[in-house]
Amino acid sequence: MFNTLFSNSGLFLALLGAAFATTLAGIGSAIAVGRAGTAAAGVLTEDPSKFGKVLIFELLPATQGIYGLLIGFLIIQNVGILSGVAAEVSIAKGMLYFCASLPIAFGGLVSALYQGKCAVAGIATVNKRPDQVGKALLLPAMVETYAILALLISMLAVFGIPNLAI
Amino acid sequence: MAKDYIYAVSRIHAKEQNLLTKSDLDSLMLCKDYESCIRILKDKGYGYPDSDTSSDMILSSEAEKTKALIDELLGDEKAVLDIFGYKADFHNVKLAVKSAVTDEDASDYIMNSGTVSADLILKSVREKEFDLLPEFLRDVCEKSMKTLLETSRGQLCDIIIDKACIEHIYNASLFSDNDAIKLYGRMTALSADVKTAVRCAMFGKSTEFINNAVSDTNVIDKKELISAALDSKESVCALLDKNDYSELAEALRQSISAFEKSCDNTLTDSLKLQKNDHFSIGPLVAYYIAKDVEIKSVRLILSAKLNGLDDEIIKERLRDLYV
Repeated sequence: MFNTLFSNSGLFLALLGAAFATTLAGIGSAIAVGRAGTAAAGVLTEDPSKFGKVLIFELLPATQGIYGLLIGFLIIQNVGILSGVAAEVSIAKGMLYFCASLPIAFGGLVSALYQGKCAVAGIATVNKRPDQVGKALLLPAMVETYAILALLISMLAVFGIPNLAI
Repeated sequence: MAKDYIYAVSRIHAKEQNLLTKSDLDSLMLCKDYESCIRILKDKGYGYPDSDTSSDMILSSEAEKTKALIDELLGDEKAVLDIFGYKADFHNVKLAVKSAVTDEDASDYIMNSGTVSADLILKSVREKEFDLLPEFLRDVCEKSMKTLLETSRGQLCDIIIDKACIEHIYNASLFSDNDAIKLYGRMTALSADVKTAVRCAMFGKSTEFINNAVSDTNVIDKKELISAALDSKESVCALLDKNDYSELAEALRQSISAFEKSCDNTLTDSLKLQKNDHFSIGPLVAYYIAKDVEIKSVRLILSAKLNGLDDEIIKERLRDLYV
Protein backbone atom coordinates (compact mmCIF):
# COMPACT_ATOMS: atom_id res chain seq x y z
CA MET A 1 0.00 0.00 0.00
CA PHE A 2 2.83 2.37 0.94
CA ASN A 3 4.56 1.63 -2.37
CA THR A 4 1.44 2.65 -4.27
CA LEU A 5 1.15 5.76 -2.15
CA PHE A 6 4.80 6.73 -2.74
CA SER A 7 4.54 6.12 -6.47
CA ASN A 8 1.54 8.47 -6.58
CA SER A 9 2.84 11.05 -4.11
CA GLY A 10 1.72 13.95 -6.30
CA LEU A 11 -1.84 12.65 -6.44
CA PHE A 12 -1.78 11.96 -2.71
CA LEU A 13 -0.67 15.52 -1.91
CA ALA A 14 -3.31 16.99 -4.21
CA LEU A 15 -6.01 14.91 -2.55
CA LEU A 16 -4.69 15.89 0.86
CA GLY A 17 -5.12 19.53 -0.20
CA ALA A 18 -8.71 18.88 -1.26
CA ALA A 19 -9.38 17.18 2.06
CA PHE A 20 -7.82 20.07 3.98
CA ALA A 21 -9.88 22.70 2.18
CA THR A 22 -13.16 20.86 2.62
CA THR A 23 -12.59 19.66 6.17
CA LEU A 24 -11.17 22.75 7.88
CA ALA A 25 -13.52 25.23 6.23
CA GLY A 26 -16.37 22.80 6.91
CA ILE A 27 -15.45 22.50 10.60
CA GLY A 28 -15.40 26.29 10.92
CA SER A 29 -18.80 26.63 9.31
CA ALA A 30 -20.31 23.79 11.31
CA ILE A 31 -19.23 25.33 14.63
CA ALA A 32 -20.29 28.84 13.62
CA VAL A 33 -23.67 27.82 12.20
CA GLY A 34 -24.22 25.75 15.33
CA ARG A 35 -23.52 28.73 17.59
CA ALA A 36 -25.67 31.12 15.56
CA GLY A 37 -28.44 28.49 15.43
CA THR A 38 -28.30 28.08 19.20
CA ALA A 39 -28.62 31.84 19.70
CA ALA A 40 -31.46 31.94 17.17
CA ALA A 41 -33.27 29.14 19.02
CA GLY A 42 -33.02 31.21 22.22
CA VAL A 43 -34.68 34.16 20.49
CA LEU A 44 -37.36 31.98 18.86
CA THR A 45 -38.30 30.41 22.20
CA GLU A 46 -39.40 33.85 23.34
CA ASP A 47 -40.53 35.32 20.01
CA PRO A 48 -41.18 32.89 17.10
CA SER A 49 -42.12 35.80 14.79
CA LYS A 50 -38.41 36.63 14.37
CA PHE A 51 -37.65 33.38 12.54
CA GLY A 52 -37.06 34.97 9.13
CA LYS A 53 -34.70 37.58 10.53
CA VAL A 54 -32.54 35.29 12.63
CA LEU A 55 -32.34 32.60 9.95
CA ILE A 56 -30.27 34.89 7.70
CA PHE A 57 -27.74 35.32 10.50
CA GLU A 58 -27.50 31.59 10.99
CA LEU A 59 -26.79 31.04 7.31
CA LEU A 60 -24.06 33.68 7.01
CA PRO A 61 -21.16 31.55 8.32
CA ALA A 62 -22.24 28.56 6.23
CA THR A 63 -20.53 29.94 3.11
CA GLN A 64 -16.97 29.05 4.18
CA GLY A 65 -17.89 25.37 4.12
CA ILE A 66 -19.21 25.81 0.57
CA TYR A 67 -16.01 27.63 -0.49
CA GLY A 68 -13.93 24.76 0.92
CA LEU A 69 -16.10 22.27 -0.93
CA LEU A 70 -15.65 24.24 -4.17
CA ILE A 71 -11.85 24.23 -3.91
CA GLY A 72 -11.81 20.55 -2.96
CA PHE A 73 -14.06 19.81 -5.93
CA LEU A 74 -11.84 21.75 -8.36
CA ILE A 75 -8.70 19.98 -7.14
CA ILE A 76 -10.13 16.47 -7.49
CA GLN A 77 -11.50 17.40 -10.90
CA ASN A 78 -8.07 18.71 -12.04
CA VAL A 79 -6.28 15.52 -10.98
CA GLY A 80 -8.86 13.31 -12.69
CA ILE A 81 -10.25 11.57 -9.63
CA LEU A 82 -13.74 12.76 -10.47
CA SER A 83 -13.70 11.13 -13.89
CA GLY A 84 -12.21 7.92 -12.51
CA VAL A 85 -9.01 8.22 -14.56
CA ALA A 86 -6.29 9.67 -12.38
CA ALA A 87 -3.90 11.95 -14.23
CA GLU A 88 -0.14 11.86 -13.82
CA VAL A 89 0.52 14.37 -11.07
CA SER A 90 4.13 15.18 -10.26
CA ILE A 91 5.17 15.64 -6.63
CA ALA A 92 5.78 19.33 -7.32
CA LYS A 93 2.28 19.78 -8.74
CA GLY A 94 0.77 17.79 -5.89
CA MET A 95 2.57 20.04 -3.43
CA LEU A 96 1.30 23.10 -5.30
CA TYR A 97 -2.30 21.83 -5.09
CA PHE A 98 -1.80 21.26 -1.40
CA CYS A 99 -0.47 24.82 -0.93
CA ALA A 100 -3.32 26.21 -3.04
CA SER A 101 -5.83 24.66 -0.64
CA LEU A 102 -4.33 26.29 2.45
CA PRO A 103 -5.79 29.82 2.09
CA ILE A 104 -9.40 28.63 2.05
CA ALA A 105 -8.69 25.87 4.58
CA PHE A 106 -7.35 28.21 7.27
CA GLY A 107 -8.93 31.45 6.06
CA GLY A 108 -12.26 29.65 5.90
CA LEU A 109 -11.87 28.07 9.34
CA VAL A 110 -10.92 31.23 11.20
CA SER A 111 -13.28 33.57 9.34
CA ALA A 112 -16.20 31.19 9.92
CA LEU A 113 -15.51 31.04 13.66
CA TYR A 114 -15.37 34.81 13.98
CA GLN A 115 -18.30 35.35 11.65
CA GLY A 116 -20.24 32.99 13.90
CA LYS A 117 -19.45 35.15 16.94
CA CYS A 118 -20.45 38.25 15.03
CA ALA A 119 -23.67 36.55 13.88
CA VAL A 120 -24.55 35.70 17.52
CA ALA A 121 -24.06 39.37 18.42
CA GLY A 122 -26.16 40.36 15.37
CA ILE A 123 -28.96 38.05 16.52
CA ALA A 124 -28.85 39.80 19.91
CA THR A 125 -29.17 43.15 18.13
CA VAL A 126 -32.18 41.99 16.10
CA ASN A 127 -33.61 40.53 19.28
CA LYS A 128 -33.63 43.96 20.90
CA ARG A 129 -33.99 46.16 17.80
CA PRO A 130 -35.78 44.24 15.03
CA ASP A 131 -35.88 47.41 12.89
CA GLN A 132 -32.05 47.41 12.70
CA VAL A 133 -31.77 44.07 10.90
CA GLY A 134 -30.03 45.64 7.86
CA LYS A 135 -27.23 47.21 9.86
CA ALA A 136 -26.89 44.18 12.11
CA LEU A 137 -26.54 41.99 9.02
CA LEU A 138 -23.83 44.15 7.49
CA LEU A 139 -21.41 43.63 10.40
CA PRO A 140 -20.99 39.84 10.21
CA ALA A 141 -21.10 40.15 6.41
CA MET A 142 -17.86 42.16 6.60
CA VAL A 143 -16.05 39.09 7.95
CA GLU A 144 -17.07 37.30 4.77
CA THR A 145 -14.64 39.54 2.84
CA TYR A 146 -11.68 37.57 4.19
CA ALA A 147 -13.21 34.23 3.33
CA ILE A 148 -13.79 35.53 -0.22
CA LEU A 149 -10.18 36.75 -0.48
CA ALA A 150 -8.93 33.33 0.66
CA LEU A 151 -11.26 31.63 -1.84
CA LEU A 152 -10.00 33.88 -4.63
CA ILE A 153 -6.34 33.02 -4.07
CA SER A 154 -7.06 29.31 -3.70
CA MET A 155 -9.18 29.35 -6.85
CA LEU A 156 -6.68 31.28 -8.99
CA ALA A 157 -3.91 28.96 -7.86
CA VAL A 158 -5.92 25.77 -8.56
CA PHE A 159 -6.88 27.08 -12.04
CA GLY A 160 -3.26 27.97 -12.83
CA ILE A 161 -1.48 24.82 -11.67
CA PRO A 162 -2.46 22.52 -14.63
CA ASN A 163 -0.80 24.96 -17.08
CA LEU A 164 2.53 24.90 -15.27
CA ALA A 165 5.23 22.85 -16.97
CA ILE A 166 6.57 21.12 -13.86
CA MET B 1 -12.59 25.38 25.98
CA ALA B 2 -14.78 27.43 28.34
CA LYS B 3 -18.44 26.49 28.29
CA ASP B 4 -20.65 28.97 26.52
CA TYR B 5 -24.25 29.79 27.32
CA ILE B 6 -25.37 31.04 23.90
CA TYR B 7 -28.94 29.67 24.05
CA ALA B 8 -29.50 30.77 27.64
CA VAL B 9 -28.04 34.24 27.06
CA SER B 10 -30.06 34.67 23.89
CA ARG B 11 -33.27 33.85 25.76
CA ILE B 12 -32.32 36.12 28.62
CA HIS B 13 -31.59 39.00 26.24
CA ALA B 14 -35.08 38.42 24.78
CA LYS B 15 -36.53 38.42 28.30
CA GLU B 16 -34.77 41.71 29.06
CA GLN B 17 -37.28 43.35 26.70
CA ASN B 18 -39.95 42.62 29.29
CA LEU B 19 -38.12 44.18 32.23
CA LEU B 20 -39.75 47.33 33.48
CA THR B 21 -38.20 50.59 32.34
CA LYS B 22 -37.98 53.89 34.17
CA SER B 23 -41.02 55.15 32.26
CA ASP B 24 -42.97 52.06 33.38
CA LEU B 25 -42.16 52.91 36.99
CA ASP B 26 -43.18 56.51 36.33
CA SER B 27 -46.52 55.24 34.98
CA LEU B 28 -46.98 53.17 38.13
CA MET B 29 -46.28 56.21 40.29
CA LEU B 30 -48.77 58.26 38.31
CA CYS B 31 -51.54 55.72 38.99
CA LYS B 32 -54.35 57.05 41.14
CA ASP B 33 -54.58 53.98 43.34
CA TYR B 34 -53.27 50.51 44.10
CA GLU B 35 -55.76 48.77 41.79
CA SER B 36 -54.59 50.79 38.76
CA CYS B 37 -51.01 49.79 39.56
CA ILE B 38 -52.02 46.12 39.68
CA ARG B 39 -53.77 46.46 36.29
CA ILE B 40 -50.60 47.87 34.70
CA LEU B 41 -48.47 45.16 36.30
CA LYS B 42 -50.81 42.44 35.05
CA ASP B 43 -50.57 43.92 31.54
CA LYS B 44 -46.78 43.71 31.87
CA GLY B 45 -47.02 40.01 32.69
CA TYR B 46 -46.82 40.15 36.48
CA GLY B 47 -48.57 37.44 38.47
CA TYR B 48 -50.45 34.44 37.12
CA PRO B 49 -53.73 34.71 35.19
CA ASP B 50 -56.75 34.75 37.53
CA SER B 51 -54.47 34.82 40.55
CA ASP B 52 -54.91 36.85 43.69
CA THR B 53 -54.18 40.58 43.25
CA SER B 54 -52.44 41.09 46.58
CA SER B 55 -49.02 42.69 46.18
CA ASP B 56 -47.34 39.82 48.05
CA MET B 57 -48.84 37.24 45.72
CA ILE B 58 -48.02 39.18 42.55
CA LEU B 59 -44.44 39.94 43.57
CA SER B 60 -43.68 36.49 44.92
CA SER B 61 -45.07 34.90 41.74
CA GLU B 62 -42.77 37.14 39.70
CA ALA B 63 -39.77 36.06 41.80
CA GLU B 64 -40.83 32.42 41.40
CA LYS B 65 -41.10 32.80 37.62
CA THR B 66 -37.63 34.34 37.45
CA LYS B 67 -36.12 31.58 39.58
CA ALA B 68 -37.84 28.90 37.49
CA LEU B 69 -36.55 30.46 34.25
CA ILE B 70 -32.96 30.71 35.48
CA ASP B 71 -33.07 27.17 36.91
CA GLU B 72 -34.36 25.89 33.57
CA LEU B 73 -31.62 27.67 31.64
CA LEU B 74 -28.79 26.63 33.95
CA GLY B 75 -29.96 23.03 34.37
CA ASP B 76 -27.33 21.11 36.37
CA GLU B 77 -25.41 24.29 37.05
CA LYS B 78 -28.13 26.13 38.92
CA ALA B 79 -25.99 26.00 42.08
CA VAL B 80 -24.07 28.93 40.55
CA LEU B 81 -26.88 31.20 41.72
CA ASP B 82 -27.16 29.70 45.22
CA ILE B 83 -25.43 32.80 46.52
CA PHE B 84 -28.67 34.75 46.01
CA GLY B 85 -30.59 32.30 48.19
CA TYR B 86 -28.33 32.51 51.26
CA LYS B 87 -30.05 35.62 52.64
CA ALA B 88 -33.33 33.68 52.72
CA ASP B 89 -31.61 30.70 54.40
CA PHE B 90 -30.22 32.84 57.20
CA HIS B 91 -33.51 34.71 57.53
CA ASN B 92 -35.20 31.32 58.05
CA VAL B 93 -32.54 30.41 60.63
CA LYS B 94 -33.42 33.57 62.57
CA LEU B 95 -37.10 32.64 62.52
CA ALA B 96 -36.39 29.05 63.44
CA VAL B 97 -34.18 29.94 66.41
CA LYS B 98 -36.58 32.55 67.78
CA SER B 99 -39.66 30.40 67.26
CA ALA B 100 -37.95 27.42 68.92
CA VAL B 101 -37.02 29.51 71.97
CA THR B 102 -40.29 31.42 72.28
CA ASP B 103 -42.42 28.46 71.13
CA GLU B 104 -44.30 30.61 68.61
CA ASP B 105 -45.35 29.63 65.11
CA ALA B 106 -43.13 31.36 62.50
CA SER B 107 -44.41 29.60 59.40
CA ASP B 108 -46.12 32.75 58.10
CA TYR B 109 -42.81 34.58 57.82
CA ILE B 110 -40.59 31.97 56.18
CA MET B 111 -38.96 32.67 52.83
CA ASN B 112 -39.07 29.95 50.19
CA SER B 113 -36.33 31.36 47.95
CA GLY B 114 -33.47 29.83 49.96
CA THR B 115 -31.15 26.97 49.04
CA VAL B 116 -32.26 24.84 52.00
CA SER B 117 -35.85 23.84 52.66
CA ALA B 118 -37.37 26.19 55.23
CA ASP B 119 -39.23 23.26 56.81
CA LEU B 120 -35.95 21.41 57.29
CA ILE B 121 -34.42 24.44 59.02
CA LEU B 122 -37.45 24.86 61.29
CA LYS B 123 -37.55 21.16 62.15
CA SER B 124 -33.84 20.69 62.81
CA VAL B 125 -33.63 23.80 65.00
CA ARG B 126 -36.80 22.89 66.91
CA GLU B 127 -35.49 19.36 67.56
CA LYS B 128 -31.88 20.56 67.98
CA GLU B 129 -30.75 18.14 65.30
CA PHE B 130 -28.30 20.49 63.67
CA ASP B 131 -26.55 17.66 61.79
CA LEU B 132 -29.51 17.57 59.42
CA LEU B 133 -28.50 20.99 58.12
CA PRO B 134 -25.78 21.82 55.61
CA GLU B 135 -22.42 22.63 57.19
CA PHE B 136 -22.69 26.39 56.61
CA LEU B 137 -25.83 26.59 58.78
CA ARG B 138 -24.92 24.15 61.57
CA ASP B 139 -22.57 26.26 63.70
CA VAL B 140 -24.55 29.45 63.34
CA CYS B 141 -27.76 27.72 64.38
CA GLU B 142 -26.16 26.17 67.43
CA LYS B 143 -24.31 29.34 68.47
CA SER B 144 -27.27 31.70 67.98
CA MET B 145 -29.64 29.38 69.83
CA LYS B 146 -27.23 29.02 72.74
CA THR B 147 -26.79 32.80 72.90
CA LEU B 148 -30.54 33.44 72.85
CA LEU B 149 -31.18 30.84 75.55
CA GLU B 150 -28.41 32.16 77.78
CA THR B 151 -28.96 35.91 77.35
CA SER B 152 -32.56 36.22 76.07
CA ARG B 153 -31.26 39.07 73.90
CA GLY B 154 -32.64 38.83 70.37
CA GLN B 155 -30.23 41.47 69.12
CA LEU B 156 -27.19 39.36 69.96
CA CYS B 157 -28.78 36.40 68.21
CA ASP B 158 -29.45 38.55 65.12
CA ILE B 159 -25.87 39.83 65.09
CA ILE B 160 -24.46 36.29 65.06
CA ILE B 161 -26.74 35.21 62.21
CA ASP B 162 -26.32 38.39 60.13
CA LYS B 163 -22.54 38.27 60.46
CA ALA B 164 -22.44 34.59 59.44
CA CYS B 165 -24.72 35.38 56.49
CA ILE B 166 -22.54 38.21 55.18
CA GLU B 167 -19.36 36.19 55.59
CA HIS B 168 -20.87 33.18 53.84
CA ILE B 169 -22.12 35.26 50.90
CA TYR B 170 -18.76 37.03 50.59
CA ASN B 171 -16.74 33.81 50.77
CA ALA B 172 -19.02 32.14 48.20
CA SER B 173 -18.53 35.10 45.86
CA LEU B 174 -14.75 34.70 46.08
CA PHE B 175 -15.03 31.19 44.64
CA SER B 176 -17.09 32.36 41.67
CA ASP B 177 -15.56 32.97 38.25
CA ASN B 178 -18.21 35.55 37.47
CA ASP B 179 -17.44 39.24 37.96
CA ALA B 180 -21.08 40.13 38.67
CA ILE B 181 -21.25 37.57 41.50
CA LYS B 182 -17.91 38.77 42.92
CA LEU B 183 -19.19 42.35 42.91
CA TYR B 184 -22.48 41.27 44.50
CA GLY B 185 -20.53 39.59 47.32
CA ARG B 186 -18.31 42.61 47.85
CA MET B 187 -21.15 45.15 47.79
CA THR B 188 -23.27 43.00 50.14
CA ALA B 189 -20.44 42.83 52.68
CA LEU B 190 -19.52 46.49 52.29
CA SER B 191 -23.10 47.70 52.61
CA ALA B 192 -23.82 45.56 55.69
CA ASP B 193 -20.57 46.45 57.50
CA VAL B 194 -20.83 50.17 56.83
CA LYS B 195 -24.48 50.30 57.97
CA THR B 196 -23.56 48.37 61.13
CA ALA B 197 -20.64 50.73 61.80
CA VAL B 198 -22.80 53.84 61.34
CA ARG B 199 -25.53 52.51 63.64
CA CYS B 200 -22.92 51.58 66.24
CA ALA B 201 -21.46 55.10 65.96
CA MET B 202 -24.92 56.62 66.42
CA PHE B 203 -25.71 54.54 69.50
CA GLY B 204 -22.20 54.70 71.01
CA LYS B 205 -21.59 50.95 71.08
CA SER B 206 -18.47 49.41 72.65
CA THR B 207 -15.43 48.05 70.80
CA GLU B 208 -16.41 44.50 71.74
CA PHE B 209 -19.94 44.93 70.41
CA ILE B 210 -18.73 46.43 67.11
CA ASN B 211 -16.09 43.73 66.77
CA ASN B 212 -18.80 41.07 67.10
CA ALA B 213 -21.18 42.84 64.73
CA VAL B 214 -18.84 43.73 61.85
CA SER B 215 -17.97 40.84 59.55
CA ASP B 216 -14.45 39.48 59.08
CA THR B 217 -14.58 39.95 55.31
CA ASN B 218 -12.19 42.94 55.46
CA VAL B 219 -13.72 44.55 52.37
CA ILE B 220 -12.84 47.62 54.40
CA ASP B 221 -10.09 47.04 56.96
CA LYS B 222 -11.94 45.86 60.09
CA LYS B 223 -9.65 47.62 62.59
CA GLU B 224 -10.05 50.94 60.79
CA LEU B 225 -13.82 50.46 60.54
CA ILE B 226 -14.10 49.73 64.28
CA SER B 227 -12.03 52.86 65.08
CA ALA B 228 -14.27 54.94 62.81
CA ALA B 229 -17.43 53.46 64.36
CA LEU B 230 -16.12 54.31 67.83
CA ASP B 231 -15.64 57.89 66.70
CA SER B 232 -18.55 59.15 64.53
CA LYS B 233 -20.59 58.70 61.38
CA GLU B 234 -18.36 61.25 59.63
CA SER B 235 -15.31 59.09 60.41
CA VAL B 236 -17.02 56.15 58.68
CA CYS B 237 -17.71 58.42 55.66
CA ALA B 238 -14.07 59.55 55.65
CA LEU B 239 -12.96 55.90 55.71
CA LEU B 240 -15.13 55.21 52.66
CA ASP B 241 -13.52 58.21 50.93
CA LYS B 242 -10.10 56.84 51.77
CA ASN B 243 -11.02 53.47 50.23
CA ASP B 244 -12.10 55.04 46.89
CA TYR B 245 -15.82 54.83 47.63
CA SER B 246 -16.37 58.60 47.46
CA GLU B 247 -19.79 58.31 45.83
CA LEU B 248 -20.98 55.94 48.57
CA ALA B 249 -19.50 58.22 51.24
CA GLU B 250 -21.41 61.19 49.82
CA ALA B 251 -24.65 59.16 49.86
CA LEU B 252 -23.97 58.03 53.44
CA ARG B 253 -23.58 61.65 54.53
CA GLN B 254 -27.18 62.18 53.34
CA SER B 255 -28.75 59.09 54.95
CA ILE B 256 -28.44 55.34 55.34
CA SER B 257 -31.23 54.77 52.80
CA ALA B 258 -29.36 56.97 50.28
CA PHE B 259 -26.27 54.84 50.95
CA GLU B 260 -28.22 51.61 50.37
CA LYS B 261 -29.57 53.05 47.13
CA SER B 262 -26.08 54.08 46.02
CA CYS B 263 -24.72 50.56 46.73
CA ASP B 264 -27.51 49.00 44.65
CA ASN B 265 -26.95 51.53 41.85
CA THR B 266 -23.21 50.78 41.80
CA LEU B 267 -24.02 47.11 41.37
CA THR B 268 -26.61 47.79 38.65
CA ASP B 269 -24.19 50.06 36.74
CA SER B 270 -21.57 47.32 36.69
CA LEU B 271 -24.14 44.77 35.58
CA LYS B 272 -25.01 46.85 32.52
CA LEU B 273 -21.71 45.70 30.95
CA GLN B 274 -23.21 42.19 30.78
CA LYS B 275 -25.73 43.37 28.17
CA ASN B 276 -23.01 43.12 25.51
CA ASP B 277 -21.92 39.64 26.51
CA HIS B 278 -23.43 36.84 24.41
CA PHE B 279 -21.49 33.79 25.56
CA SER B 280 -20.88 33.67 29.33
CA ILE B 281 -23.14 33.18 32.34
CA GLY B 282 -22.83 36.91 33.19
CA PRO B 283 -26.08 38.09 31.54
CA LEU B 284 -28.05 35.42 33.45
CA VAL B 285 -26.64 36.63 36.76
CA ALA B 286 -27.27 40.24 35.73
CA TYR B 287 -30.88 39.45 34.79
CA TYR B 288 -31.48 37.70 38.10
CA ILE B 289 -30.18 40.68 40.08
CA ALA B 290 -31.97 43.16 37.78
CA LYS B 291 -35.27 41.37 38.29
CA ASP B 292 -34.71 41.44 42.06
CA VAL B 293 -34.11 45.22 41.93
CA GLU B 294 -37.22 45.63 39.77
CA ILE B 295 -39.37 43.65 42.22
CA LYS B 296 -38.03 45.73 45.12
CA SER B 297 -38.93 48.92 43.24
CA VAL B 298 -42.44 47.69 42.44
CA ARG B 299 -42.92 46.61 46.07
CA LEU B 300 -41.92 50.09 47.18
CA ILE B 301 -44.43 51.75 44.84
CA LEU B 302 -47.25 49.38 45.79
CA SER B 303 -46.59 49.90 49.51
CA ALA B 304 -46.60 53.66 48.99
CA LYS B 305 -49.90 53.47 47.08
CA LEU B 306 -51.47 51.30 49.77
CA ASN B 307 -50.31 53.66 52.52
CA GLY B 308 -50.92 56.90 50.62
CA LEU B 309 -47.28 58.03 50.71
CA ASP B 310 -45.98 60.94 48.66
CA ASP B 311 -44.29 60.27 45.28
CA GLU B 312 -41.20 62.20 46.37
CA ILE B 313 -40.56 59.65 49.12
CA ILE B 314 -40.75 56.87 46.53
CA LYS B 315 -38.42 58.68 44.10
CA GLU B 316 -35.80 59.12 46.82
CA ARG B 317 -35.66 55.39 47.35
CA LEU B 318 -36.14 54.03 43.82
CA ARG B 319 -33.05 52.25 42.48
CA ASP B 320 -31.65 52.63 38.95
CA LEU B 321 -32.95 49.94 36.65
CA TYR B 322 -30.93 47.56 34.47
CA VAL B 323 -32.70 48.54 31.24
